[in-house]
Amino acid sequence: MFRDNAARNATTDGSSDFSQSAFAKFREAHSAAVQPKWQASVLAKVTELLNLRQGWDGYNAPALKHDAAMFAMVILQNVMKQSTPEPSVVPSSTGGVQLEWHLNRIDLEIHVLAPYQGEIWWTDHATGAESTVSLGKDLSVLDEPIKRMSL
Amino acid sequence: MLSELKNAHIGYLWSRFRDRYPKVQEQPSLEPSFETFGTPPMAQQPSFRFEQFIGVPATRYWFETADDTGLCQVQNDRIIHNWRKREGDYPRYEYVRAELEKDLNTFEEFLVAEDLGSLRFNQIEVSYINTIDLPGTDNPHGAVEQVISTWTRLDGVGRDLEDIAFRARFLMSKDGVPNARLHVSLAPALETTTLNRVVRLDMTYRGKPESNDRSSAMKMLDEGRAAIVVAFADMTTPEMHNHWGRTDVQR
Repeated sequence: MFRDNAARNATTDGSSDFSQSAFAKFREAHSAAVQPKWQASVLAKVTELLNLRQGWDGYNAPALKHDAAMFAMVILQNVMKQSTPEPSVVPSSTGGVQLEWHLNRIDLEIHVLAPYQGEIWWTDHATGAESTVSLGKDLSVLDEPIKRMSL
Repeated sequence: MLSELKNAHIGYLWSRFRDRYPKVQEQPSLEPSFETFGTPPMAQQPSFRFEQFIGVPATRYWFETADDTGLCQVQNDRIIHNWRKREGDYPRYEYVRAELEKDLNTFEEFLVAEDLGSLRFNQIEVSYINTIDLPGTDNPHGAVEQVISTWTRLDGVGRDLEDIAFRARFLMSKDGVPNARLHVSLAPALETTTLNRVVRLDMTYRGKPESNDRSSAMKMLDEGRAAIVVAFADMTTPEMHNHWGRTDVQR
């Protein structure tokens, strides 16, 4: 109960507005210092897409599903290396999110429909190799193209 | 995720829970935790707070029993049952599992009644938080070798280990294919009621069930519990087993 009261006072006491805003600034600065660059910009893009409403494409496409967006971030969290370029982030007409890279003669697209659901497609124009697999818990198919793009 | 479950519905849920859980609290929501495999382990990247970017913050509700030991946590993508130590002894896994089943029954009935969707399980987690008391030790925080079987003393003449923390991750496989992960962490802590120095050993098993139905979810929960029991016995010393009077390790 003590904690509840303290929290309530902090929001009604004018003097604490300053400390709250100072804390928010500190948190922002701290996050910027420790967060990889891709994380902030991809998150900003995903957030923008989450504001799209049903019909955003003019053809009744559903709004982007939160759990699809969250899982896309989880995938990136697991595969992005320090030197990996940021992906393009685009909404799909099925309520999912698509992460795309087109560089170093590699095309890689990850279409996330929901956690563990979707499709991974990549092609290597240098060798002609192409792969399409269902998105699941095993992300090993991403290892090679991500490595190639991160060199 | 139950995207139609709004904060306004929670009162209806509590009315179904209230006999078992007379107390309710609001907490910030937990961020998603999904295990994936097949990528090289990397230095842990800072996690992101997703919910702060998406308008109205999601809330996690705590429904608590009168004696505080039972806790059911609900948010729109997660349901958790916890047993917390207060006065009595740990009632064993079977009891806690049965309590979770009751929570799920009530929650599923509520979802049907309010037309809010259905439960599809995409991630299962079992956690044991062990606070280990080391009576007769000057500094329990530096006496990890008494707890962890593979540890040796690190201190020496004029060099006393003050405290230590570690974390380890284990891939758990089924038929040769990774399907879950066991996270183990050890850290110095203070026991909340006595303020005695203790060692905290946390073990969490998490993974994706074979299918998203409830029986697969409960099966994976049992597998997770079994994996933790074995890991706990493997990692802790025979001296601690004797101290606890441990006789229930099943392999």
